[in-house]
Amino acid sequence: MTELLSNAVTAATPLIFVALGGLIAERAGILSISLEGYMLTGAFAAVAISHTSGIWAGLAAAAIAGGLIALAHAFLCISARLNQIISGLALNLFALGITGFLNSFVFGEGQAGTQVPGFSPLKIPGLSSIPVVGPALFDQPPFTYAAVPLAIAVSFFFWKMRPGLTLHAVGEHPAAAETRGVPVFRYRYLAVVTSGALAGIGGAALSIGILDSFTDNMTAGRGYIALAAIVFAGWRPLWAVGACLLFGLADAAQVSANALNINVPFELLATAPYVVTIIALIILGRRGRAPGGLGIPYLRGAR
Amino acid sequence: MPAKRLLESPLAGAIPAAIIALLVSGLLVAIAGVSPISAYKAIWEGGLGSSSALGATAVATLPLLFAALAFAVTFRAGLYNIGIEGQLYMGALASTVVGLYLHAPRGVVLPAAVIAGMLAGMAWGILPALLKVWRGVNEIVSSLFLSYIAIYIVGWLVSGPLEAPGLGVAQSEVIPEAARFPEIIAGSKLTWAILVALVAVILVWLLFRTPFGVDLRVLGGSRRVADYVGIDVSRTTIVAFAISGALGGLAGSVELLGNQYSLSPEFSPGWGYTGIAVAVLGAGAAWGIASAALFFGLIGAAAVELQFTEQLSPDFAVVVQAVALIVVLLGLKLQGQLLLRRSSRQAMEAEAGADQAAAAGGATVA
Repeated sequence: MTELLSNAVTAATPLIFVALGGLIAERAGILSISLEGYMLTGAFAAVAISHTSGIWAGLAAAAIAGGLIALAHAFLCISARLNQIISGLALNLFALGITGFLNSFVFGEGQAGTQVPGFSPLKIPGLSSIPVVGPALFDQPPFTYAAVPLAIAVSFFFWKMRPGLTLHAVGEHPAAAETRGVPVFRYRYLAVVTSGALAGIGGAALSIGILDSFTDNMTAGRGYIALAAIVFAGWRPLWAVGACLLFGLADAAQVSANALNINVPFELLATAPYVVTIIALIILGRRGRAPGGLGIPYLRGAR
Repeated sequence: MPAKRLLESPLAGAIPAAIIALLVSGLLVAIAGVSPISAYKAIWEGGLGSSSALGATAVATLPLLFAALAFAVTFRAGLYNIGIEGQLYMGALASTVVGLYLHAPRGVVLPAAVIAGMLAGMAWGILPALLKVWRGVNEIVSSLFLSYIAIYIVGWLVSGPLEAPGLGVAQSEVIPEAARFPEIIAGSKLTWAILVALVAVILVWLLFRTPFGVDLRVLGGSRRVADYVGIDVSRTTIVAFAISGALGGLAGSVELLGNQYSLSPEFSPGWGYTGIAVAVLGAGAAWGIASAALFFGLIGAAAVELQFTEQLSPDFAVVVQAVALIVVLLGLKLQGQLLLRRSSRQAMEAEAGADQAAAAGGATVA
C-alpha cells in the first residue's frame, strides 16, 4: 500500500506538469494534441543537456525545447490558421522523428538509454517516516514538490487574476475579447509557448526526474494521458491534478499487481485512464466544459 | 496562363514540398556524417531499382495508404478519426486469429482473414461515432483513447492467450503459408496485396462521387446546411466511421498477411498517425493519397536502405515526412490566400466597373 501510493505520486508528477501546461493553451482556445510532442522533446533535451552540462541546464533545455515546438504550433495555428489537430499531429510526428534521430546521433547507435545525471529523490526527514502516506508525500523527486505550488498557482491565475480571467475570454470568445481591447494573438502565443515549456519540464520530470535516461518514444502516450486528464477534469486545474493522480495510481497498480502476484494483466490495468475518461465523457455527454472557442482559428476582424 | 493554372492545382503545394523534403533529408544525413548523394542513391537502390526494392517500397507504402484513405473518408465530412492506429491493431488481430485457426485452402482463408480484419476495424471504428451520436462525446478524444485501449488489448492477448510458446517475447504464432498474400515476384515483398490497395483507392474515389460522398462533403462544409438539405447527420456520421474503420482494419490486415505474418505489441510504428499526414498531403482525394503514400513509402524504403548501408537512424524518415507535411500545409494555405486575394481583387475590380457603368448610366439619364 505504502509503495503503491508512493509509486502513484511519482508516476503522476510528469503528468501534472504536462496537464497544467495543456490547460493553459486550451484555456486560450488552442488544442493541445501536441502535448505528446512537447513532452517527448523536453524529455530528450533534458537528457542530452544533462549529459554534458548538468541537471539544471538539462531542466532549462527541456523547457526551451518544449517551448520551441509549441512556438511552431502557435505559429501554425494562430498566424497561419492551420487545422489545429493536423498541426498538432504533424508536430508530434516531427518530435518523434527528431528525438529518435538526435538520440542516435548524440549517444551513438546502440547507446540509447545511456544513464545521465538526474534529480535524485528528496527525502524530507521526519515527515517521510509517517506511515503509509509519508513516502508518497515526502520522499519524492523535487519535481513532485514543485508540482503542488504550480497547480495552486495555475488555479489562482485562472480564477483570481485579471490576465487569467482575460485568458478565459480569449478562449471562449476571441472576437468579443478583441472588441474589449484584448490582444488575442499575443495571449494565445504566450499561452501556447508557456504550455510547451511546462510540458517540456514534464518530459524532464520523467527523463531526468525518474529514469535518468532517454529511449526512443519514451513518453509512450503520456502526453495523451495528460490530455485525458484535462478533458476528464473539465478544464479545471486542481481537478486535473486529481485526474493525474488517479491515472498515476493506475500506472503504479500495474507494477504493484505484478509484485503482489495479483493475476490482473498489466495491459488491462494500463487501459484504465482511457476507459475511465471515456466513461466520464459518456456520463457528461454534451455537458463537457470545453472552452467555447477551442480549436477554431481566429481571424481578426471576421465575424 | 499555365502559371496561373499551376497555382490553382494542388501540385503547387506538392512539388515544392517534395523538393524541400529532399533538401531536408540531405541536410539531416549530412549532419549525421553521410554524403547526401548516397542518401539520394538510397531512394533508387532501396526503393525502386530492383524487385526486392520495389517490395520494400510496397511494404512501406501499403499500411500508410489504407490508413490515409481511412482518415480521408471521415475528414471529408469534417469528422476526425484519429483512432486509426487502434482500428489497424484490431484488424491485424482479427486477421491473425482467422489465419491461425481457420484451416482451409488459400482461396478461403485469405479472403476470410482480410474480411475479418475489415470487420474488426469497422467494429472498433464505429464506437466513436456511436458515442458522438448518442452522447455528444467528442470523436477526436474518444477515437484517440480507443486506440490505446486496442493496443493494450493486443499486447495482453499476444503475451497471454495468443502467445507463441517458447519465444520469450510477446508475439503470436506465425500464420501459415495459406493465409499469406502470395508474392508477385518470388523473393520480393511485392505481393498481390497491391491489388487490394488498388481496388481500395478506386472504391474510395468512386465513393466520393456517389450521393453519399456528396452528403459527406456537405456535412464537412457545414452541419447546419446538411440539416437543412435533409441529410441524416447521425446516420452519415456512423456510416463514415464504419467505412473509415474498415479501411483502418484493412491497413493492419494487409500488413499482417502480406509482411509481418505474426502479431506483436510493436506491430505498427504509428502508421495510423502517419496516415493522417498522408491523407492531408494527398489533399483528401483518393489518387492524391495514393501518390502521397508512395512518396512516404519511398522515403521509408530509402531510410531502411540507409540504416543497412550507413547505420543511419531510420527516424530520419519520420522527420522528413513531418517536414514535408508542414511545408505542404503552409504551401496550401499560402496558395489559398493568394487565390482569395486575387479573386477579391477581381471582385473589387468588377464592382468598380459596375459602379462606373452605373455612374455613366446615371449621367445619361440626368
